[in-house]
Amino acid sequence: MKRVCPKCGSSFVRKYGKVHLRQGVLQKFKCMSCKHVWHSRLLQCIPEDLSDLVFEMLRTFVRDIEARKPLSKAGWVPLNEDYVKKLRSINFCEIDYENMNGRIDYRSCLPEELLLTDEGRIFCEILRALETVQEIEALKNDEYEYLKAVMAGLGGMFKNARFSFWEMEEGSIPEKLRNFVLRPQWSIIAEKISHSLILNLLKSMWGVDSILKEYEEANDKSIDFYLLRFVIHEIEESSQWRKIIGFFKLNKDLLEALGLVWYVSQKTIDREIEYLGAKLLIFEAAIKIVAERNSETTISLRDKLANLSGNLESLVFEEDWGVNWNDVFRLPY
Amino acid sequence: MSSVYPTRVPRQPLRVWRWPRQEHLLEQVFRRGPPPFDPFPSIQDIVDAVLCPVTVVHRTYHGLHGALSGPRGIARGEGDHFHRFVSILKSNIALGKRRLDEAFSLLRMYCSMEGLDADSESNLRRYLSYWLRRKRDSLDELWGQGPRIFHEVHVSTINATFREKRDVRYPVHGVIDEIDTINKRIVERTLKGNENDSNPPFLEDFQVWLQWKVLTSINRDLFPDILRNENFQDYDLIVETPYRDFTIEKNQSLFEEWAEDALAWISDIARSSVAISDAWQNKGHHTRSCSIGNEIEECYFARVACYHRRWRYPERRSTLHASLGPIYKALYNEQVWVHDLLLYQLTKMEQDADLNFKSELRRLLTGRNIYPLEIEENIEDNRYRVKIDETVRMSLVEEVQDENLSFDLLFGSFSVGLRRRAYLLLDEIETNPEDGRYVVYIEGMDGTERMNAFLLRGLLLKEDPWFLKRLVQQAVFSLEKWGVDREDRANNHVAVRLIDTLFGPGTLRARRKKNEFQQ
Repeated sequence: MKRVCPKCGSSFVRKYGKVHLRQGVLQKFKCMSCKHVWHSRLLQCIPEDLSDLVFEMLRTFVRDIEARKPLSKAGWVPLNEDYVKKLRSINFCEIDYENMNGRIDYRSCLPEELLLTDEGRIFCEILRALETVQEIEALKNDEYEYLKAVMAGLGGMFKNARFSFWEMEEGSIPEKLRNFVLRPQWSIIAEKISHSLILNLLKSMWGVDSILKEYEEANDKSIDFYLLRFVIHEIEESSQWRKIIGFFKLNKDLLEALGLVWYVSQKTIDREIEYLGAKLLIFEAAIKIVAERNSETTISLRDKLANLSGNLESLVFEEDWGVNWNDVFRLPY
Repeated sequence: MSSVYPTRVPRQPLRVWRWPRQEHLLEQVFRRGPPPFDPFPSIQDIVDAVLCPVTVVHRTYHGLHGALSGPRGIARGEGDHFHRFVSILKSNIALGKRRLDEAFSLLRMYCSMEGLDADSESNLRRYLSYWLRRKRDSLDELWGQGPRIFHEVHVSTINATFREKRDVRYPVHGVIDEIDTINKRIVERTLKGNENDSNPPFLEDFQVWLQWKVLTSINRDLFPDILRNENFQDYDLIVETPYRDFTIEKNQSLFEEWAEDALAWISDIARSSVAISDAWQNKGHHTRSCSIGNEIEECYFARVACYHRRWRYPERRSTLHASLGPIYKALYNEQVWVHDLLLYQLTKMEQDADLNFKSELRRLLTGRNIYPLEIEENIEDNRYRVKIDETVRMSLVEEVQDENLSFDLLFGSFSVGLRRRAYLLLDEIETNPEDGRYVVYIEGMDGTERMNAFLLRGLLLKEDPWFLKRLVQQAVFSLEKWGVDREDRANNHVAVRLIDTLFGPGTLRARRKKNEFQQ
C-alpha cells in the first residue's frame, strides 16, 4: 500500500518503528522529504494480509460512486480464491462467487477502528450523502415539502448574507441609511433586515400561503426600531429591489435552485459531510430536481446559476447606490 | 469522450474572455463584489489547470498554487537555487569574470551567502556535477561572449491565441527561465526527472511551449533593443534537467487544445462556484486520471488538498467550513480587484490599440505603481546609483517613508523585461531622496545597459500585499484541515475545544431551551 506524508504529500516514506500501547499498536512513519513523523494505528479487526484489500475495496466504492455507478454496482474488486477464503473470516464484506468479486457490504456494521481511517470516513460520508440524495429526491413529487425546503434554504441564504453597500459617488447613499450602516451593531441588525427582505421576496414570488405563514411565525422577530423600519423601507422601495423581484419572477427556477441548494447545504453540515465528492453528489441532486420540476435541462439551469452574478450586477449597474446583491444571492459553496 | 481526452471531458472553449472594461482599468468604478472580469492567469496557473481542473479550485479558494512544484520529492527551494546559481555561473563566465573550474568554489560561496544547510548544498553539488558533465564544452565556448544569455525574463501579453481557427484572445503572463541568444534557445530548467528518462518531466514540455507562445504573441516594438531583432519563431525550445536536454516540438496541436481547455476552466471557476462540481468530476490530467488511491504522483495538491488526512477532532469541522466559505471567496475577489486588475493595467498600458487610453493608463500608474528611473553609475559590485524620474520623485519618498525598501526592477518593458530585485540603501551617503538619487543593490544587472528601467511598487506582482490575502486563504484552509486523532489530547486542546464550542452542536442550545421550559 502506498503511504504518503500527510504534511507534504511525498511518497518517500519509511516505517519508523512501532509503539505498543494499551489501546493497540501504532506504526510510526517518517517522511524522508520533510522529516515529518506520524503514527498510524495498526488495525486489529482485520488480518494484516487483508488490510490492503479492504482499503482498496473502500476506495473502489468511493471511486465508483463518484463515477455515478449505481449502488448495486459500486465497490466491487476482483478476487482470487485465496482472498475469497480469507474474506470469510470477516463479516462486513460481500462476495460474488459467480464473478469472483468482492466488496464492502455497505449495509453491515463496519468495525469502529476501520471507520476512523481516512478511507473509512470518506466511505461513511458517501453513504450519508447517498441517503441525503434519496431524501431530496423524495421532495420532487411533494409540492408542499419542496416549497418548505426551498423557503428554509432561502431563509438560510439571507441569514448568511453580508449586506454591504456601495455608492457611485460619495454621498449617493441616503444619509440616514449611511449612518445606520456604519453603526457597530450593523451586523446584528442586518439579520432582522434579511428576515424582512426574505418575507418580502417570498410574498412577491409565492404569495401568502400556509407555508409562508408557518415560516413567518417560526421566525417572528419584532422590528421595532424606527430607523430599522426606515432602512428596510429604503431597500424594499428602491428600484433595484423591485428589479430584483422582477428578475426572480422571470427566473423562479433560479430562486428555487438557490433555496434548495442552501437547504441541502445545511443537511451536509448537520450530517457532518466534509468530503467534497460527497457534498457535490447532494448539490447535483438538488439542482437536478429543480431542473426537472421546471422542465429544463440541468445544463441550462447550471448555466443560469453561473451567470447569476453577472446578471445581478447588470440589473443595478446604472444605480447610484446599492446593496452587493452578489453577497446575498449566492451559492453556499 | 474523445481519444484525446481519455480521462476528462474537454471543456467548452470560451466564446470570449471577460476583459475588464475601460472604466475598471481607469479605476472609475467602485470595486465591489465579484469582479466582472476574468483573472489574469500566469503560465503556472495554466500548467496547473492542464494538470487538473481541481487545482484551479484550490488556487481560487485556498490560495494554493504550483501543484507540480510543491514540496514533493525535490524540495521546491533547491530547484530555484539551482536555477539561480546556474544563471550566476553563466553570467560570470560570459563576462569573463570566472573560469569554469571555479564552479564549485562559486557554489560554496553562493550557499554560504544564501544560508543553505549542508544537505541542500550537497544536493546542489550533486546536480551541478551531473549538469557540468554535459555542459563543459558549451560553457567553454561561452567564455567572454558578453551578456547574451538572459535569465528570468518577464513576459506578459493580452494577445495570446490558440488553435488556428479560433480567434479568442487571452491574457497570460509569466517568467521565462532563460533566453539564450547565442544558441537561439528558450530554456526551461528543472531538477525533476531521472538519468534514464527518455521523456521530459511531466508537463515541463508544455510549460516551455507556452512560454514561447506568449513571447511570440508580443509585438516586436515592445522588446528591449537587445532582443528586438531576434526571430523567436526559429528558436529551439529546451527542457533542461541536470541529466539531459530535451528539445520540444513547437507545432503541437494537442498543447493548443490543452491551453484553451485550461483557460476555459480558469474563467468558469472564477465566474461561479457551479463549475466546481464539473472540475471534481473531471479531475486529473487529459491522459492520467486521478482518484482516491490513484492520485497523480507529481501533483502536490492531491494529498495535501484533495485527499488530505482526515482528523477525528475537532468534530464541528463541517460547520467551520461553512462559516469560512465566504471568507475564501471574498479574499479571492480582493486579489483579483487588486492584483489581476493591475496586471491588466500594466499590460494594456503598453499593448492596447488605443493610444489615448494607453497614455491615460500610464498617467494613472506612474508615480503610484511604477517609478521610471535611470542607472547613473556602477559604484561597485552590484551597487548602483540611480536617478528617479523627476515627476515621481516625491511619490517614491512617501513609499520609502512607509519603509518599503525592496522593489522589483524591470529592464525593458512590462511586456518583455528582465526582472531583478532592487534594495534601496538609504544609509549610503550618496542617497538623497529629495534629489531623487538612491544607491541601490541590484543583482545580475549585466546586459541591461541602455534599457528602459522602472521600479514596481513592492515586489513584482506582490504589490499592495495581495499575496497576504493568498496566505490568509492558505492559513484558513490549513485550519480547516487541521486536527488531532487522540481523544485525550482533543479534550485538553484549547483550539479543538474552542472550535467545537464556537461551531458547537445545536443540541446544546436545544437542551438549554428544554431546561428553560422545564423551569
